[in-house]
Amino acid sequence: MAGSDRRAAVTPAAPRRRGRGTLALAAAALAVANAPALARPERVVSLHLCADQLLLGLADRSQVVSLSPFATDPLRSHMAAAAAGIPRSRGTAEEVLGMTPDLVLAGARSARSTVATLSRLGIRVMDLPLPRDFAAIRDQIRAVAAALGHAARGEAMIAAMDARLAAARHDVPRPRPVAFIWQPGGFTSGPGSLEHAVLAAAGFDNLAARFGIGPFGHLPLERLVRAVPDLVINWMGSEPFPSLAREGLHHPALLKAARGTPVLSMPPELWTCGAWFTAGAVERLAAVRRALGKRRAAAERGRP
Amino acid sequence: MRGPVLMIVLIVALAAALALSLLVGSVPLAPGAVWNGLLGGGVDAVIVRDIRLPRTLLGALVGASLGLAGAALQGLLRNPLAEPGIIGASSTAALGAATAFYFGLAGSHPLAVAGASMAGALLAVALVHALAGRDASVLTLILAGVAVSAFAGALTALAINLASSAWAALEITFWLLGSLADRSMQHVAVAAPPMIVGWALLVSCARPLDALSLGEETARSLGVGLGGVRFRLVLGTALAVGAAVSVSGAIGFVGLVVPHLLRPLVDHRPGRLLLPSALGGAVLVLLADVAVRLLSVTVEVRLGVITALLGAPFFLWLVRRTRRTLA
Repeated sequence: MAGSDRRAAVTPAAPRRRGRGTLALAAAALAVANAPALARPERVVSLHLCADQLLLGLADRSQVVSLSPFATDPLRSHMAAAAAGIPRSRGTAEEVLGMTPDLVLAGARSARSTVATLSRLGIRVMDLPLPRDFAAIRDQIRAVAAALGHAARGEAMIAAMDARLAAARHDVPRPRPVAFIWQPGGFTSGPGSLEHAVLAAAGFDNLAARFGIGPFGHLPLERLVRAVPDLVINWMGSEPFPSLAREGLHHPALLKAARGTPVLSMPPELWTCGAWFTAGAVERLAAVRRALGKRRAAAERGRP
Repeated sequence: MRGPVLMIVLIVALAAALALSLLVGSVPLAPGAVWNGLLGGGVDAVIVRDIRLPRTLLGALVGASLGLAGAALQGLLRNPLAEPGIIGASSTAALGAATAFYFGLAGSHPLAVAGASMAGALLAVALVHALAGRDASVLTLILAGVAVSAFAGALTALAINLASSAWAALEITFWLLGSLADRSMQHVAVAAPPMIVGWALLVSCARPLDALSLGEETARSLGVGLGGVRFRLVLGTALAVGAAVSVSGAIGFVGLVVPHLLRPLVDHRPGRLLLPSALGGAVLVLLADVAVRLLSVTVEVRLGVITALLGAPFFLWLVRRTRRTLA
């Protein structure tokens, strides 16, 4: 994915430890403990959707042993195509132990008990919290790339992402247009959320911030009707999961007050996890911002 | 003259609660602006007519349904602890709604959730009635209700457990907490007809309920057909409570608290208790929903949470008092 890496060719194949029981496990654990700057891991297991994507984006395919259950779902994972054909597991400690991994990537929502059990058994576990801004995304890419033994790929990935972000940011007008993120059930994302960082990077102000809403909060319809934004972003995208709460977007009050306000359906796989591809969400928003600017300019020219 | 006075007081209270519900919201609007919004146009009209009015109407409809059903069930089972929630009707109605969410029926047809809720409530009321039998002791009744509620709760948890997406799980969970926020007139149109049919069935049982309070033998000798009365009460409760749950989620304890507060004022006659309980239920839910709006700043406090916080201590007090009278 992120360029070829010749070192992969000279690294000897990982010895198969499967089936040798705890002795082999203990030996592996010892090896990890004794040599922290050990050669690149050859049997990496991911327990979380977001970790799946970083792993697929940064590692050699031969390093990947197993992914999380949703890894091949194109509505959830940007790397669904790349995940095809790789085993998936529910990520219980038993399953993971059976795979004799030398590195386990866990997400913020992975079961804590599983992570604790694996660590106790001496398996190297890397915890990947959900990044809430692009600085955190850069840090995480760098850390995972280093852990996988592909630091250069990580730097290249970050540089490519930063170039896309810079291109999206170069023509932001003043005052910035206002966007509102609609999540099912009338919830929204404010400052402190990844979505807020994406809006800011694309040159939008976040309506939620004006109402003092934190990373995740509820904005009553009454207030939204009073302060109609320039853009409504449907967080769910067009995913076909059954969901009644989405009917909120079709509430008669909103349809009346926000008639003509464009609604952008954000593909959820672009920002449910924060990684290099989150720049794609920024690019989509920036494109909409430019279109809105043109439309407004045309409207102002048309006025007498 | 006590009856008419009570009704007038309750009607005035209902009018005040309706007005208050229209006046209070997350956007501060002066009474004049609300009045203009009801009649005129503009953004205020959207807020008043399309957001606050449906919420207010639903609060009154849901409260009346719960109060009326509570009073009717207490009369039928001759038991002060009967209540749509306690006999499992609310939780099975919620299970019905959760099932509709889970299988994605909710989006398919506006009546799907309402129909599933009503089917659930009907099942619970019939089941508890069959389990507890005719002269249900307090214990049997509560146990039957607990069993039905527990089973419905387990199945609802299973729906959350197996939900296809985190959002579906979140939706079911929030649904269970009960809310009237951001409903529309479409919800009113879906819920009102079955509720009104349910009310009519329940109110038509006023006389038989009075007769039933003298014991089944006496009631029979007075010419009351018990089978028909039970059927009407069960069906009426299922329709009213099922429709209420289908738009608001589970809102507990209203059907327990309201008939109790009003019973002494109608000389403990179950037939006469019905209409005042409907009015009182509407007032209670409207006021609780106003409290919800005053308490909710960035996170919505759910209506069902408020009524449970008020109702559960009341229930404890009731258990204590019942124990004393039984001893």
